[in-house]
Amino acid sequence: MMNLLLTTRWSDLYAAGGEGGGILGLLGIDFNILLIQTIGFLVLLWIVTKFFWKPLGAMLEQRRADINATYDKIEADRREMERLRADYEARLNQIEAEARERIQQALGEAQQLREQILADARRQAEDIVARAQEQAQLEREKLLSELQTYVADLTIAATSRLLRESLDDARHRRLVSEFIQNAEVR
Amino acid sequence: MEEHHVSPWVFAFFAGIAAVVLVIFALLSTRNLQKRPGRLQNFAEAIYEFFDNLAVSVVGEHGRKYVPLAGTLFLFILISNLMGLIPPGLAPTATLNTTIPLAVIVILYVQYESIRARGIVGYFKHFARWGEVPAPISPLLFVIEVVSELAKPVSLSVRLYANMFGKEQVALALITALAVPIFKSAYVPLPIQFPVLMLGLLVGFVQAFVFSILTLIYLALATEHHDEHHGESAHAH
Amino acid sequence: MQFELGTGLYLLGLALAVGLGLPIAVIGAALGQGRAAAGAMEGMARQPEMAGRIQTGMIIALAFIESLVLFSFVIFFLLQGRLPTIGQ
Repeated sequence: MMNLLLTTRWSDLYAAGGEGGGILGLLGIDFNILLIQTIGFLVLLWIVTKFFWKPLGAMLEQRRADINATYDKIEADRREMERLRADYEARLNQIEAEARERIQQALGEAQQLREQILADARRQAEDIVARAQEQAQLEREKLLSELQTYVADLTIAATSRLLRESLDDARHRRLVSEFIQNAEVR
Repeated sequence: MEEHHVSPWVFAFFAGIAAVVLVIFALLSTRNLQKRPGRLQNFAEAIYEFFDNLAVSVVGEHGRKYVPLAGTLFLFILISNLMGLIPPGLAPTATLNTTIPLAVIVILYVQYESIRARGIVGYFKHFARWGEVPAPISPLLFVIEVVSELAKPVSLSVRLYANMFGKEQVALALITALAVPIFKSAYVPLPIQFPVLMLGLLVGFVQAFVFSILTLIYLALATEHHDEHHGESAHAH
Repeated sequence: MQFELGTGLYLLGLALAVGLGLPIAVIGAALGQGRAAAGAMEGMARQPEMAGRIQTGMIIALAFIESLVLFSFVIFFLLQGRLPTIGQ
């Protein structure tokens, strides 16, 4: 019986130990079943690979690709949006600058206009004053001449009255010229 | 060994049921794939993503193509393990007849990938660690590596089998040792084995996960040369 | 019941192996798993951001350790099948 566990011959393993079988018999090993199980598992492996692992792998791969594409698209969209925003901002800035410049320009023009108007007004005022002075001068001269005439008339009248009373020629002459001289000075 | 009256064909039958359940789930969840996933599709996608992340973190960027193998192993083993917790069911993984084929498929695929990554000469050189150790030691290492490579399917299959089988044995022992003597019946409504079943739930998940992550690790080891090269070229960029 | 000496020694060894083999394996593995888990927890506490990867690594390590126990568990079942019942 000891040699049961020490034997190495295949047939001995199977045959030794009487009707219970050898080690293989004790362990219940049946070569027919081994063969069937081997074939069975290979068929199972083939079926499950074909209908389970392959389609799943393909599906997951496809989804991964989809997700990648989606993320790429989102990224591209974001970049595009950013670009547009920068564009708009730049344009807005430009518009603002333009407006400011235009206002500045308008202000400058207004200033210039004001200066011009002021200058005009001053000049007009000066003109008016000058004309007024001139007129006053004329008026005075006119008045003076009128006065002279009047004085001369008056003098002549007075003189003639005087002359009618008593007057010699010499005295008369002297008086008239004296008078005229005075009148001219005035 | 009286508890071993169940014919091995019953386990095979339950393995078939587990496979059918998995196929139905696979077809249902991907019947109508949409960009906006429904509940079932969401669940399926979560499973896919989990294995995708796992494969990439364990194997590297070229590990994506191992997702179907690791994921199918996990789902099939998980369904099988959980079937043992539903009363009329048996865990098909509680027999070596189910776990050995899985482990053998995995390890043969690992060899295939290793040869593909390194070439047939590189494949044997890798076993001998040629160029990594002094030449005289290489033959010795070759033997050790081959043995350890052969131990991989054994440990894979036995680990899964023994976990599930052990859980069932403990539950059975609790029933036969406690329920039968006390209640004179194996069919008492009082679930004495309940704590073991809770443990079984945890073990079912963990073992399914361990099986598939070990598959990925073996694949990573088998193709690591390729990966290193890849990494170097990526580094040079 | 009468045994030959050889058979008696064989049965004695078998009984000891069946009775003690698995517990010894369990003790060793439990210590190993404890160390592995402790190391992993410490690592997680130090670097919480690596918790996921550490946990995965820990589960793998625990599975490897556990598989050794399970090997001995299988052996236990094989040997248990060899134990004669009292009637024999």
